[in-house]
Amino acid sequence: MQDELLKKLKLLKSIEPDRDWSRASLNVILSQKQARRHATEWHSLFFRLSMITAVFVLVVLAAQKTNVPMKLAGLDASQLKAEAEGLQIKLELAEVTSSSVESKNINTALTQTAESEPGHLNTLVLTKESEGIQFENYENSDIDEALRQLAD
Amino acid sequence: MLDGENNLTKRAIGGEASAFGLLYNHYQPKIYRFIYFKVGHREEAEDLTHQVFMKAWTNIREYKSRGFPFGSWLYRIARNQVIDHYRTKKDEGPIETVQNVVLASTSDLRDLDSKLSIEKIRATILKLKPEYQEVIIMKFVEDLTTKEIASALEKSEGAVKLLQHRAIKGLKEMLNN
Repeated sequence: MQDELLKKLKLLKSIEPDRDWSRASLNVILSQKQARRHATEWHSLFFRLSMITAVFVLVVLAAQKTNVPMKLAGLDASQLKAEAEGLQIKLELAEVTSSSVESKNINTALTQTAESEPGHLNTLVLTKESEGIQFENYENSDIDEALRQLAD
Repeated sequence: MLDGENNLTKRAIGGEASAFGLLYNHYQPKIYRFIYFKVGHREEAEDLTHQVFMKAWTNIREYKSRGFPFGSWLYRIARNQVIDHYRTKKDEGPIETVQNVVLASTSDLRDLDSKLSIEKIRATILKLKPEYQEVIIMKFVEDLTTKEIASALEKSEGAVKLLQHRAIKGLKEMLNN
């Protein structure tokens, strides 16, 4: 029974479209241009960009509506404050270090002065220095003015 | 599946009309029969078949071979075309009015007994559920493989085998009554 049925079903293959119509239909179809691939790709790219933009806008709007701060690592106020405080501490430490070095230098200079004769009071040195100074050709008008005021 | 089909589809995608022509010659009668069994009118079947191949040609670049033949893609387009057809045309005539058209279109049949036999089967198939009709046409008329049918109907191969079994059983019962 089933074999008989299957044979009869195969007979349905005898139903075919009209050949002239088939040929005419194919000619009409082939006269149409195919959809351009570039257009499809561009549409796809445009769609993706639109989706990304839309999602970004939605996220921003949602954040504004819900008053949720935008947490960007570079713009986090507490983090920036902590960084600034860290910098100040470092600066202070540097100042402390440099002032301790300076005080050591001063101590050394004072010790050396105390141990040796005060060179700046040596008469020979003072005489040489006074020879190098030209009192006649000085050109400092501010000093002149100051002396004049003192005289008055 | 047509010999050298992959090569033909590639050439057709590249815009080669003669390659598409060969695909058309192979698949057009099958698609026509598939649609014809579902709509029952020669002119409507011709129009819908024309639209299926028009869509296939103009959108052939959307076809990407995933291991199933070009024919499965055409059957998908045909199914959607028939669904759209019935969506727009709800005043479908009764099944009985279709019978004469079927007889007229079986031009190659030599004797009346065969015509009547075909007509009886045709009328009985129309009484089956749409997915049973589709499976019977694809499997037992067009000899498509289960994989091809599964791809065309967007179902698993297991589901198609089950459908085949139920469809043929249903058809036998109806023919016996």
